[in-house]
Amino acid sequence: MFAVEPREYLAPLALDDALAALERQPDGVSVGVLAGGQSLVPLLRSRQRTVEVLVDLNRISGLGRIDGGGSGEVRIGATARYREIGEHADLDRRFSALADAARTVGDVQVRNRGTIGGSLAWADATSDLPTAVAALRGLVELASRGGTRVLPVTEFILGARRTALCPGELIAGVVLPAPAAGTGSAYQKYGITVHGRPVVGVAAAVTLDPSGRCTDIEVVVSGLQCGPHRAPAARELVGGPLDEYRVGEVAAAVADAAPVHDDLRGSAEYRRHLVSVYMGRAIRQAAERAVQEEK
Amino acid sequence: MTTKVSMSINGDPVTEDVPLRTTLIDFVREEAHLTGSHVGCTFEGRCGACTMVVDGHTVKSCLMFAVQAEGSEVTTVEALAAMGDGLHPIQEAFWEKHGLQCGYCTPGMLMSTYELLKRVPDPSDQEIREALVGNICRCTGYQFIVESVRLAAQKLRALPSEQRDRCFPA
Repeated sequence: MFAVEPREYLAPLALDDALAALERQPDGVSVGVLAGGQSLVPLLRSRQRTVEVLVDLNRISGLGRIDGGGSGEVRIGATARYREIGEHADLDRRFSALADAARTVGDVQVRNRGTIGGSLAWADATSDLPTAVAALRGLVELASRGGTRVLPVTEFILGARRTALCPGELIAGVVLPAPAAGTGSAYQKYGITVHGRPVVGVAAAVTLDPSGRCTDIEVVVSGLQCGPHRAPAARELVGGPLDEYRVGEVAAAVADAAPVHDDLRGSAEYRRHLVSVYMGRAIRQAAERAVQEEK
Repeated sequence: MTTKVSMSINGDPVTEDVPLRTTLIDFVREEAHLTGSHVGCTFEGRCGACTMVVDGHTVKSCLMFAVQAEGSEVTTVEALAAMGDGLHPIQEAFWEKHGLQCGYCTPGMLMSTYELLKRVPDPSDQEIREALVGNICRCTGYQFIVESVRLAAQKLRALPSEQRDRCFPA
């Protein structure tokens, strides 16, 4: 099907121009912000959504840059593509959960186009990247003509397809704070097809002291109707070693309390089982990486 | 209302006035009259039959508006044969291993294989299957396709590096 013909297509070359274009639109004009287009274009073509003005961010130079490295924080520009994130050596080493997630979104063609900013803005419940960003305690930079505000991703995403993004604002990038020494992270998911949308996915970041005792942990679950679901109960693991029995026990408790739902892709009971299994896997892999990181 | 869109398709400049909502696949098929790339699922980005290379990477050309490819280098399945000697080694391999039945998905399969083998000269079966996740075939059950990709990789590895490079210009 053809999309309803937009009145105007804008491809600004600078973020300021894009923000000015948004500000210029009179109230009531529907604007579509186009990044990778892997979610928006199917909606436009199926006419689940129509827009009068299309603002394409793909020509903004530097908006997809990944800056940082060394031991500091890293900043990922909004239009960095899944492929670029998945192939980035520093992200792979220090922010592994995000690189894991980026490498398992959809398929090669989707990863060649889809962007981290688009994934956050769309905030689909069955997406991978926001969950990994949340486990890494990432921050979202929201730019507008009035300036830039920064929100933790857990405050940015309000629920499935609901975000704190205001009219006139664009996601400029994501900041991942430098992980403490001895930190490792991982994202593990189950999709109906390989790399398919997560029925359940779990991102875990753990910090171990040199004796192997867990000093910090963050666990976030994807695939639930509420959007990325933080599991503060995982903090029960802080203070002890991450042995199989303890991890299994806490994962089962998190799964019991998780707001799971039934749908065509899995029953609530099945999802509970998956949360428990995949949380165990993600924590174990994160812990292995934390140990490697200390060496 | 139409917009002037220019891009290079398989090395040839193409300029046409098209509506904004024209997708890249429609531009390539209807304006440039290159009908090798197919439209399968029509708007969902699920089937991968419209896969082509845009500025060095494969995309589903049904999920991109033509106007977004303004100034881009687009490579479609039609360009493959000229990169090889008669046929591209990837095409030869699909022929020899019978990596198709009805052939509808084949242009997309070939382009995804192209991207894989450009990066990974000796992929495992797992890597081959992961590279083809975005391409659906409803006939073959994929086994012969995987064998075709494996053979294509062998053929390409056997080529002198100069000739191999000629097989991956985009």
